[in-house]
Amino acid sequence: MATNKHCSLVLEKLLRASSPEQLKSFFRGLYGYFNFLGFNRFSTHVLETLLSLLGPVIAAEVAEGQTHGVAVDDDEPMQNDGDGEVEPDPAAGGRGRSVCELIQQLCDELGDSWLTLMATPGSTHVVRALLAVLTGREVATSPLAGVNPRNRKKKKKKHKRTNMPGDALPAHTTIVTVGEPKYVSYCYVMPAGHAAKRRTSLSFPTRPHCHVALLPVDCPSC
Amino acid sequence: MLRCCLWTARPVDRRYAVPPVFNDVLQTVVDEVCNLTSPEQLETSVCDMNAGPCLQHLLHIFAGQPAYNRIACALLQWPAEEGEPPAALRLCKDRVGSHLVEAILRTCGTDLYSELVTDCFRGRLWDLCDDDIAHFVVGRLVEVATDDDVAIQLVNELSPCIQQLLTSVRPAL
Repeated sequence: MATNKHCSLVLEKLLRASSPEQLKSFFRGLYGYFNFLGFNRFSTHVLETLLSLLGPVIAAEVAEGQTHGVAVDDDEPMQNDGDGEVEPDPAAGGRGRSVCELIQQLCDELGDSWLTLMATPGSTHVVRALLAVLTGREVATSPLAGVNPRNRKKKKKKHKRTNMPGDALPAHTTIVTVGEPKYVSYCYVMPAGHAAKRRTSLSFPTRPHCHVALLPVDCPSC
Repeated sequence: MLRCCLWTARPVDRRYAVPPVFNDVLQTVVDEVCNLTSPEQLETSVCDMNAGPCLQHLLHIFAGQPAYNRIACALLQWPAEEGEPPAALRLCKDRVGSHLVEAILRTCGTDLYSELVTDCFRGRLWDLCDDDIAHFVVGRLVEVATDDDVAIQLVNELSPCIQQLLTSVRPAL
């Protein structure tokens, strides 16, 4: 379900409405599949949501001193992969394991190469959530997380490249820097002979995560 | 508008208790970043649009901790080898890497900041100001200057070309 486009959204909503015990139970159910889920474009969102909800659960375990889990089954089924290494059997689940142990298992499975994981488009969010959980911080999630993408307001994409601060701008262009240096306002008037055109707002990324918004200004030449 | 405010709002910095064993896991991440990765691979990661913000997050997590300087120096590949230009200059001119340099300038302590200014940036500010991307780093460099001596050095270096800076199209400056 977590790897399904639509079901993953339902799962995320269910997780947000779950009690700590239900979260633990769900997390234990994922035991053995972390590596698979950590690289899927839909299940990574489920993992991120789950991790964002685990902070209070881990804190409660630490307070109660239950970070090592409970040994419920001494002869827990294990799988031998042929190289002599014994791996946990996913069918056995994470029964009796504490959330702290499951987090460690998640890190063991995912963390063969952290840098590769960070550079993978889907997994980078899981790594960030994991780093936040490991340091006891709240996972920063977007307020639109969990909202069906179809219900989100779509932004119109401007394919046409517009003037950027670094470009040579035509004559009659006034550039005024206001407030924060990231914001630039300018009024742009087409040269004589062309239809007058005045831009009042423009947004373009000079770098990723850095948008320049152009605000309407009173230009003396207009 | 409300949505915009919510989006830009920083989460409350609430902290939960974690078991000590989590520190070992974090240490493996730090070890991989600092020791197990070749300089080329590390630079590729720093300039990657997915890994870059993640490494910035790592820097914020370790800000103020003993391991911070180790991580920052590894990411900047600093100090550079004899005769080689600092890798930080290349990062400053990269669309993603420049954000990481800014993150380091924001989170590093006064000592590391002074050393970075002296070793990497002094004498090269105008070259950076002239770049479409690196001038953001210069802006940040001036913004976070807390040491008076360093601030005076920066101003002295930038003041001869202040007229050019005002007329050039450099939003960060």
